[in-house]
Parts: sequence; C-alpha cells; structure tokens
Amino acid sequence: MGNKSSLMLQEQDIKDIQAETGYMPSQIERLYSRFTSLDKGDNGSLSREDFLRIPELAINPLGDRIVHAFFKESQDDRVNFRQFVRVLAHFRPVKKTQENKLNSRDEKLRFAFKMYDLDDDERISREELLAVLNMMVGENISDEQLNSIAERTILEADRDGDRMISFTEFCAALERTDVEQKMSIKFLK
Amino acid sequence: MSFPIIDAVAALVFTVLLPPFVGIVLFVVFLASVGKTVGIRLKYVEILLYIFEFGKKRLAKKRRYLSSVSELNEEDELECNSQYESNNVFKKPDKDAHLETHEFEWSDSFQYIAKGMQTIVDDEVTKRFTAEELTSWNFLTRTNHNYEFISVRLTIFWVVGFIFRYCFLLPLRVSILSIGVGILVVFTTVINFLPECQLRKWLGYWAYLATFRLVSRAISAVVYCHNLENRPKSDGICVANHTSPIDCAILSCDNVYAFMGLIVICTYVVGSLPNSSFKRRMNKRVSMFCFDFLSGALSLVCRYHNKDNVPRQGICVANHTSPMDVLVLACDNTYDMVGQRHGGFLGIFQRALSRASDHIWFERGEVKDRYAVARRLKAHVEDPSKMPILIFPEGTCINNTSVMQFKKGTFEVGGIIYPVAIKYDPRFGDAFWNSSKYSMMAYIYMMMTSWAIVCDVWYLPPMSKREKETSIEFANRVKAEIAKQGGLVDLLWDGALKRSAPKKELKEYFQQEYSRTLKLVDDLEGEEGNQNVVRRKISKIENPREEPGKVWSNADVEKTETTSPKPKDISSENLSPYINSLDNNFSSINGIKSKVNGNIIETESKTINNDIDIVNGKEIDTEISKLSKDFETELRNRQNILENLIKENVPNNFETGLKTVKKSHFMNGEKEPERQIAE
Repeated sequence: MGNKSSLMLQEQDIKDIQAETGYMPSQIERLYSRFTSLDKGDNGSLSREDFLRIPELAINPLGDRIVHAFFKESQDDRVNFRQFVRVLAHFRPVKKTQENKLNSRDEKLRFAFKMYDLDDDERISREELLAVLNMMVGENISDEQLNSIAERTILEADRDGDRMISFTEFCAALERTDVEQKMSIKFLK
Repeated sequence: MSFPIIDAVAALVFTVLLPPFVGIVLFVVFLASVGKTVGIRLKYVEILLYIFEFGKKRLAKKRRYLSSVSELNEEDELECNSQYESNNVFKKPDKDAHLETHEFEWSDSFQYIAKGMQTIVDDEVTKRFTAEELTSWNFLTRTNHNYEFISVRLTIFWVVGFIFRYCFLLPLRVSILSIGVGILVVFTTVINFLPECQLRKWLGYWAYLATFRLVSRAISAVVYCHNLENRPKSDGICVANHTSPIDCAILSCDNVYAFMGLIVICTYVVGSLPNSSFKRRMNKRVSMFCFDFLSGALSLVCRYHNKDNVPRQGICVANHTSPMDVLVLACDNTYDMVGQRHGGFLGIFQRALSRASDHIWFERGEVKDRYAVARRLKAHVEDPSKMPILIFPEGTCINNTSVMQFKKGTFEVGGIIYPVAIKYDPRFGDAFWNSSKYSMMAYIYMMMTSWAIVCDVWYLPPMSKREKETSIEFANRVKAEIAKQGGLVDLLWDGALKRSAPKKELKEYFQQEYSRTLKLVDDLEGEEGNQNVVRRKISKIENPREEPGKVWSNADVEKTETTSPKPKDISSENLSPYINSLDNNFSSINGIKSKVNGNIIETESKTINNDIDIVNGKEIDTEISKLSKDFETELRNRQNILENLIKENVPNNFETGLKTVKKSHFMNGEKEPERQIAE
C-alpha cells in the first residue's frame, strides 16, 4: 500500500509521462499506486479481468467499451502503465493556461467517437449505434423504438448521405455540447 | 565447539534483561488474574499518540519542501466534472417522479464514459477491501515504505520503534500469551479433578476470567465500550459491524493455537457442568476471561461506550473489520456465535465452544437453506435463557472506513436487534485483515508486532422492526445508525463484491434509469410513436403519397410537416435508401397492425359477450317488470275513466252498466275501455 510503488517508478519515467500527458508527478504516483493495486497478479500490466474487477465499472452499461478503449494500442491484450495513463489523460480537465495535449476537445471527441465505432472503420453505422444504444438501455425500450431512435439520430447527423457518421459529422453533431466539461473527471488530491 | 562471545552476550542478556522481563510478565499475569488494570495501556496509547503527532509534523514539513514546486498550479485543476459523484450511485429516485426527458443525443454516453473512467482512477468499493489510507505515519514500515528515510530524526524514531516492537513487545506478548494459557491449562485440569463443590465453581470462574484478560494484554488491546447499558441481553440478536459465523472461527486461529487449547479446555470444563443457571453464568465468566486474555495478547485497547445498552438477549449486529471484532466484543460480554460448521482445526474450536453454550453451527448444505437458518435463529432468540447471538451482517471484513450492505436474513428473524459499532483507531496499527493479501499467520504476526490495537465500541440502543417496514428497510436503518455512531461511510454496496462480480441487476438499474430519461419519439408510446417516426421521415422526403399502403389523412401529413425540420435537398440516388428503410418500417407497421387488429377483435368480442350476458340476465328481467308495471297503471287509469263515464251517462242502470263494462273489460282486454271512451 501507499507509495511503495513509486519506488519502482523511475524519475525519468515520471518526467516522460508528465511531458506526454500533462499530469503532475504526484498524480502520476497516485495513478501508479492505483495501477498496481488493480494489477492483482503483479504482472506489471492489466488484463481485461483486472479492470472488470472494479464493481462500479462492471455495472457501468458501457463498461465493456470503456475497458476496450484501453486495449486499442496493445497487441497482447495487456495494458502497461504508460498506456493506462495515456488513456486516462484524455479525461484530464482542460486548462486554459496550459498547452492542451491529450485532453484537447478534439482528442476527447475522438475518444467518444471510438466508443461508438465498434469495428474501428472510422465510421459509425446504424447497427453500431444501435448496439451502443442497446448497451445503454438494456431491455427497457423496445427494439422498434430503438431502431427508430438510431435511424433518426443517424439521419440527422448524416451530411453526405452515406448513412454513416464520420468523425467530422460526429463533431458537427456535438458542436454545441460542452465536451470539455462532460468528458473530464475529477482528480482526487 | 563453543562461541565464547555468543555465550557471553547470551549470559549478559539473560542476567540483565531477563529479570525485569520476567517481572513484567508476572506483574501482568497477576493484574489480569485479579481483573485490575493500572492504566499502563492507556498511558502507553497516549504516549504513542504524542509521538505520532510529532512524526506527522516532521513529515508535513518535508513534504511541503519536496512538493512546493510541482503542486503550485494544481489549483485550477479542480474545476471539472463534479456532477458524477460516485457516492450517489444508489440514490433510488422516486418511481413516480417526473423526469426531464430528452431525445437521444450523442453526448448521452459521455456521462457513462466519464463515470467509468472515474471509477478506474478511484472507486468506492475496492478501496474498502484494502488497508485504509492514513493521514499520519505511525512508524510502521507496512503502512508506508518510503517515509523511513525522509529525515534523520524520523528514521531514529522508526528504528527505536522497530526495536521496541520486535525485541520487547513481541516476546512479551508471546510469553504472556503462553503463560496465560499454561496457567489456564493447569488450573482447569486441577479444577476438573476437584469434586463438585463451591471451591470448584469459584476456581473455574476465576481461571476463565483471568485467562481472557491476559490474552487481551498480549496484544495491548485497549477497548473502549460506550453505552454499556445497551449491551445485548440474552433475548435479542447482537448485530455487530462484521459478518458471518466464520469470523469467530477465524478468531480462534488468529489468537495463536495455544488459545485454542485454552478454549477447548475451558469449555470442556464448563460443558461437563449440569445444565443450570450456574452453568450459564459460569460460561459467561469463562468466555469473557478467555477473550480478555486474548485481547491482552494483542495489546487490545477497547473503549466501551454506553454500557447500559449492552445486549443481554437477542441479536447483536456489528460492523466487521477484522477477526478481532469477536475478541473485542467478547471481552465485555458473552455471545453465542452463528456460523458454518467446519472440519479439522476449526471444528475442534467450534465443538469446544458449543460444549459450554448454545452456539449455532450449520452443516454445509444447511447454510443455503435460509429458512432453516432463520428457524434456528428464531428458536434461539425466543429462548430467554440463551446468550445473545452475535452476527456480522456484512458477511465480510471491510477496512474500518465504511459499512456495506447488511444481509437481510438477520433482520427477518424478529426480536430485538442490538446494534454495535466498532471502530478501530488506525493510528496504532491497522486491524483490518486483508484476507486476500495476507495469510492468517501473517496477520497474527502483524497484530503482535504493531503498537497496539485501540478500538471504540458503541452499544447503541436496541432497535426493533417497525410495522410496515420491510426487513431490507430495517437493515438499512440499523446500518445507518451504526455508520453514524462509528463515523463510518454508509455504503449500499454488497460486501460480497470483494470476491464475486456484481449482480447483473445493478447494471440493469442504470439502464432503466437512463431509458427513463430518454424521450421516446414525440413522447408517444408504442406503435403510435413508431408510426410518428415514419411520418416524420415521410415529411422529410416530402412525398408521402408515393408510398404504398399509406394510411394517414392529408391533415395528418400537413400537421407533421409543420413540425418537421427543414426538408433536405433530395436527389434520386439519395432517396432510394430512405425508400428502402420506409419499406422496412411499413412492413413492421403492418405486422403491428395485424397484431393490433387481432387484439382489438378479441377484446371487442369479449365486450360483446359481456353485453349479451347482461342483456340475457338482469337487464331483461327489469325490462319485463317495468313494462308490466306500466301496463297495470295504464289499465287502472282507464278503468277509472270508464267508471266515471258510466256514472255520468248511465246513473240509473249503474249496477248493470258497471257489470257489463266489467264483463266486456275482462273479455276484450285493454282495448275495450278505449273503444267505449271513443263511443
């Protein structure tokens, strides 16, 4: 427990991560401590099961997609600390004074876009939206209604008429949304 | 072969250190046997607190120096998404409350994403199963690894503390423990040979009490009991904040195997006594003594508050932090344990315990049978001669910061519940047993080498289930009381999450929540809403009439056209996918229509049948009686008129006239008078 873990995190690593993500060294230490506590097998990396062992995440309707987002870059289905911090850095609140890196509006939007883009083809089809909708509402809304919601949402956001939503169309649809605020998380201490 | 230097050192150690050491041990044994304390443990705790305070100040100084550069611009980091407080996850909203509904937007998923990320960074549940975070360092390496060398003075303190704990406290505790057990073994054996007499009873009582006090010295246990008047009485259930039956079993191993022998012997002695009120009293003394001894072995310092609430009977519920909870509570009062029957070593312990008192042990298969468990608990509670039952309804150990969901089974039994809140002082050593990380032996070792175990025990006023209150509501009420008194966070999460995955229902709960805020298209339900979507789409395409199977009137279309967004530019190639989708929609609508038609026909025929039934039965009867009444009154009126006419026109032949009229009336029915009037 405690800062035991920070002994294993080299000074240079902290500097590199700080440069990449903009997190403070104290925050990186804290995240590392969290990372090691999630790493039940002491492998130095996390598996999907390690993530889903967090009860609150496991009951999150989009929990599977969120966990999946961590595994985008890894080849062997493990997430190391650098990847872990990089994904979390998307949710750092936007600061006016600081140069925005991973937590810019554009990056936040891209992250959200990938949540919908199940097959990674840079476009959201009606089926993909429907699948995400299904995760969010479960059994509570009939298939017909969901179908029509998906249909309408796609139609309204679609500009070029290909019945698919590209990233630019996605951004346009969220033009008036406070993405910076909604896609940020509070960092404890 | 000999090592003169080692011999010399050993000799020195034995001559210089042994006498005071033995003296201390004997002193403690003596104190415990007469049931007195000289306040050394309390003083010890006070001194420790003073030292910790000093350490904290030094640390704060160092920290500030180290981090003053990097943490300057952290202030503006605070303004962000605070609306997703994970604490409120379970706020059950009113089912009937009117929710703001909105149409689906792409950003609806953001709240889930942000919340999910928040839980990855830090979550409410898993941290309850790991050691609590401390604000100050208590000079134990296990709580913090890189504080040791942060400043010279702190390092000195740590080294001195380390030597003190490992070279003085540990051997002292171990020897006190073994001496206590030895004494007990000797005494109980002696007592066992004595004939049944007053002396035997008195000796047994004394031996039991002394041993337990001794054991509690061995861990420097300081227990503060509050509200002793609320102590569980024998007719209730004592609910402590811990859980399950296994805990007391764990307790047995936790207090070193020698203790087991002690309990076995003690209870054997008591068990051999005839069943009487004396046996009960005896058992109380013996068990309290044993547990007191144990807590001594771990330097347990307990403060019992509100001793007037001590349970005498019934169910005692408490929150559960460590296997020591049982020890802490048993030092002050006797309880019957509830648990699963184990084999082997734990089995010996359980059998020993139940020899002296009525502990409830369940067979493996029986535990799953909730009704059997409840029945046995109920039987136990209803018998006033039995001890209060001690239950930890959380079912698992939580790390001393929160109370988790109480299993409702305990609260279904009925009877009085005696809530007990136990809060350890984390500054002296974390009492929480992280069972997934440390083995039992490692835990005991940690307890024996920590400064002391200091805990507060609050006996809360007895509670009983209100009318119309479900057992879950009652459980939550008791939990809230315990959390409030113990200064613990009241969580609704299930403690079983420590080992198993959360239930699917919780996820469904979120999904349901979200779908309730999702505005269904045009806020219409069912098929009608769906038709509306199609209508919208038609209006978008601007040519509804070209579609086959159109069922809406022009007025309908005009209405939807006014509310629809601006029509798009349409080229023929753009149109075809829309038409396709429309076809799909229409086919689905047709399906719905046929379904609806079927339904309507069924209900229609049902109502018709009902109508027929009504008509056949009552309705017709009343109709007939009404008609016949009308006929009679009509008849009487006309007869009157007729008689008047006869009186006026034929006064002389009145009698005969009347007769003929009557006769004709009877012969021709109701038509006769009419004709006569007309004449």
